[in-house]
Amino acid sequence: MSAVASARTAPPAGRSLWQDAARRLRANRAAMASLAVLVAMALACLVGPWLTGHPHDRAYRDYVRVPASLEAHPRAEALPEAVRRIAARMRASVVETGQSGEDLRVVLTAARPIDQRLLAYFERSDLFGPARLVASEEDGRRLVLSVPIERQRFLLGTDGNGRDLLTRTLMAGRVSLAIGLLATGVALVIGVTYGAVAGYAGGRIDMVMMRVVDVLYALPFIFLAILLVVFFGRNLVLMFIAVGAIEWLDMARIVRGQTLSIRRRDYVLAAEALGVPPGGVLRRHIVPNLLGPLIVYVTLLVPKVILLESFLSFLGLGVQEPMTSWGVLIADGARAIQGEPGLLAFPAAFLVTTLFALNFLGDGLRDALDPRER
Amino acid sequence: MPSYILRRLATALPTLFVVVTLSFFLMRLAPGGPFDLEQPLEAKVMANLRRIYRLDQPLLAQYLTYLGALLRGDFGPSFYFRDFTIGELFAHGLPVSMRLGASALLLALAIGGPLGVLAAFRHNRLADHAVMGFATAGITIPSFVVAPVLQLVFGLGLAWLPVGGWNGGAVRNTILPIVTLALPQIAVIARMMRAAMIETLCADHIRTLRAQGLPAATIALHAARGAALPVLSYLGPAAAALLTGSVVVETIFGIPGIGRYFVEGALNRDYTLVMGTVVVVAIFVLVFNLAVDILYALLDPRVRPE
Repeated sequence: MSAVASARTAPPAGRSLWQDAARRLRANRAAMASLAVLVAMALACLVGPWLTGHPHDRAYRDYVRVPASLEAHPRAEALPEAVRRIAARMRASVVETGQSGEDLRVVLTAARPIDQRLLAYFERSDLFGPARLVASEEDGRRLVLSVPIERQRFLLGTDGNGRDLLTRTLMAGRVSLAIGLLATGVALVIGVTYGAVAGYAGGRIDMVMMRVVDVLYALPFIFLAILLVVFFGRNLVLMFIAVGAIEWLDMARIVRGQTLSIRRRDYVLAAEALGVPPGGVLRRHIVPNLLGPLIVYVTLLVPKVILLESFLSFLGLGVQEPMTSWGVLIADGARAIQGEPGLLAFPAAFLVTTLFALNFLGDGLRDALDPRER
Repeated sequence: MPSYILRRLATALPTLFVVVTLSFFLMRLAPGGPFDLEQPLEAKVMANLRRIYRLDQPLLAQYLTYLGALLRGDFGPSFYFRDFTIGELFAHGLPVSMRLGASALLLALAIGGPLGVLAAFRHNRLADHAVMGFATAGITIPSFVVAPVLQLVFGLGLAWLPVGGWNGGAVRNTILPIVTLALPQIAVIARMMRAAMIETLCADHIRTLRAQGLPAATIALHAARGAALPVLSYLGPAAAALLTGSVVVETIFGIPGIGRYFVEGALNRDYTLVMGTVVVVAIFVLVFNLAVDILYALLDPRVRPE
């Protein structure tokens, strides 16, 4: 509000490039919607895994490849069969089962007395809680049990190991988003430092530094990625760094080009004339003025990095079980596509939504920061 | 012009040399070796193998041997595919990858270019938004999602095309891989073409054409020449990447190209295979960048060398 007030009193208040850009960005509906989607996605991935009620690495052996649904498991029609299977393991047969509230009333009989320790089989199954003995008749050959039913919801179904797909997808989102941000950060630091130094130093140093970039460009990118993974092992944090260490080349080129055009501007010359050391000129005067094109590039780099990570994970070089990322889930889903298309569709939908939003946001930022659009 | 090409070649060759040197030593720095199996080999067998493949010599001597062989066009024997030389592997795989890549590139140009022009002419209207939406989808949906979906729909659902396999290069087998390869390229080319076209359409010489009342098709043709320049500079690296094969597409569709050699070679420490792929890719990159520079000079008189 104070900005508005001062604009009223101070006569010709100029709008800065940033204010202009923010105004134009707010007017861009696609970009704002993308921003909202991204915030929602980040929140969901951050908080979601605690809210789904399933740990990401818990395997429900009784619920392998359950299709996506809103209803709770176990289904009523699945109960008698499950009880029969457990009874068979206890060497007993089921006489009657009947629902009483949330509990299941089960009557078991056997030729010989039933070992009551075997009741633990109920608890071990994913369908029931610990069985409670109501009555033991005929010297323990006939047991009346009250078994609580464990209700589970798998909104997106479960994977081939019986793990909740929603939890895993959100967990994977954490990893993928974290890799996207961290690797972009690494690329940003290396690329900006390298490019700004090369552009500011100029002459021979610039030439040599840019030749190095040219050579790295000619190295096949997959080769570098694989080599880095081979070097550092399959470590998550090192993956961030490895991916970032590959993606800084474009950044360095962009920054160098911008630096070349900035370093002869009057304000840079003035700072130099006042005796500011080169490091200070770079930090205070050159890098802040690079931010416009950099922000655009960074928003477009994040989806690129997420894609690269999922590509490496798809090849089996990235994130390892039981940890997961969207690339891992998609790779698993692609293998199971014929039987259970949801395993591919849901993680792919999350990934594609995020990438879409990032791309639209990047496009919007580019339009907003383009001075020609004023 | 010939001297310009020669000058460019003269800068390309040292780059190639540095790339070869760098990747040779990087590969050797990686832990593990080509004969490290789950069950370690007997020491004597290992020593023999290392002697046969000259791994027992000092690294510098190995490097010089490799460089010498490379100059004669000999990529050496494969460590992993025991009965093949790298040259034989490439002779089988490279034509396959190149055919797929070239088809995908042509398809991408034939569809992406006109789409971009169309979007630019209908700037901020429905057709523009449709093209941009499609283009963003093409860039964001990874090929390892597109490929299984195509397999499911056209291979299993409609049963029009085979799900995978090469089948001696039958056209039916190449359609799905080509489409998978081409989709992201169509998207990128359409986006770049659109952006460049919008800019060109505002230029003075195009305004003159419009003022003269020329038909839209003629104007599009004139504008496309200027707008093709940024697309052209993208096509150099893109063509090199496409023609040397894609790991994902070749793995999913089971195609005997050279794309998968990157991964297999690096994971199995097949030194010569990795080096071979690096050299082939680097040569493609350098050649296509050169070709792009020459085409650029032909299209744009301002950068034509004296």
